[in-house]
Amino acid sequence: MILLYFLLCISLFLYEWNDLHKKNSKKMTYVKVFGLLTVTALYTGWVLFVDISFVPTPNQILNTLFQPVQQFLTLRW
Amino acid sequence: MSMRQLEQISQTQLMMTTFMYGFGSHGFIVTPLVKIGNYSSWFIMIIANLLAMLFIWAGASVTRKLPSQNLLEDGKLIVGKWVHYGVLLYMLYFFFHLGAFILRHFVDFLIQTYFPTTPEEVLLFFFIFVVVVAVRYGFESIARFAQLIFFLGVVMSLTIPVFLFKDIDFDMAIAFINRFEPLIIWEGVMYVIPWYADAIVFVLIMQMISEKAKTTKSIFIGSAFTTLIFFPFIITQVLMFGPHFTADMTIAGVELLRQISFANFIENIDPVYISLWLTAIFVKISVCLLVSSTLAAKLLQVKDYRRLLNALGLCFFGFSIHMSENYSETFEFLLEGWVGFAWTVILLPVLYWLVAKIRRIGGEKAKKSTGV
Repeated sequence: MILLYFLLCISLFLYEWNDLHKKNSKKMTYVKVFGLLTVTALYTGWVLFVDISFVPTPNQILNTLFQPVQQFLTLRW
Repeated sequence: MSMRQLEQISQTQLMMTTFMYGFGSHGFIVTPLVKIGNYSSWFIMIIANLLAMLFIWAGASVTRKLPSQNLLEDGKLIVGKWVHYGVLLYMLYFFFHLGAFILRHFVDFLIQTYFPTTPEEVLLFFFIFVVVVAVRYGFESIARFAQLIFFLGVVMSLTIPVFLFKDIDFDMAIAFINRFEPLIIWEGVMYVIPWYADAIVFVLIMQMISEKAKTTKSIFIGSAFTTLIFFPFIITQVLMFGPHFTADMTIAGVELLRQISFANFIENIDPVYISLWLTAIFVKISVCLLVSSTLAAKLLQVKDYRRLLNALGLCFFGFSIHMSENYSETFEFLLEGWVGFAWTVILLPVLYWLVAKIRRIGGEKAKKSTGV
């Protein structure tokens, strides 16, 4: 699965490079697109292949933050 | 700017897309709605629909007053550059999360019901792949797809109560008109409003819509169609199972569909309805990803949102896996947390509208200040 994910990332990088090259994009656009792609590839790789059960999930964090808001709005405080 | 970026959808397409957008998420709220509202669920739904349109009206109204009629571009004229960018970042997270949340919830349901041996990642990946391709082709493609499915969606959904007519216990029907408790109705309305008002997403991409003056009307008609579909559905649900049993199911609608046994050749018809719901989920997620990409492109000052789409699609995949540990956590968030989160977002366009009113921004003054 790691190999498949690696191939997916490589193909996305090549696709973006080709796409930006065809459209004569500015250097700054290359930096932004590849910066974002690198960050998201690392994040997804981390989620897929590393044991992250010790990290709270986004929904757990949002639940802690917004459950009181919901209880307040629905008059259940 | 290429011709592809200038494509705009018509108001009819917007109305149909709004219907599909609402249809996608409403399948999940039958259980919470009946749990809160009991026999007054139908009334809560209608009131929530009407009130939610006020938020859409505020958003569309303030957007139309701006010089370029584009809230993303000119919202900074109302609240200032940095506050506006902060709001856009918050909305980006909200719609990105909403898309991933709906997808994760739906995939969890599919795995539990139809694909018990398929890994979750596989379904998520293929679904996201299709969504990314659709978003790359632009809003018009998504709207045309919604247009294609609209009539089938309306007609098929209205057949559900007809198929179940003979199994319904009509003795309970009187409770629908004599049980109204203000506190329950308040709680239900506050819970359901964000599920309609999340159509504020279309206000953020109003530059992709033609005849902008009719936007609120089209969104209202689209959402009214959603109510029209779910109104008989919820009543049938309560008459079939009763409010308490319905409130204990995770996705109550599916259990209702499984009861359909109209003739020997129409047994196990639920996959047909589920596949129709899947198309609505597809529209919902596509719109969420489209808006997230547009917002990301605006924040990073990249001209075409398509440049960031692959990166966001990959993040969407990771995020939808990471967002919850299991199905119960997703369901808990649906019941207890999402609505609070959504209220903080649907109030933002109202805030813009209020600030614009107080500062008397809009119309001629804004045009003069930007030299348009």
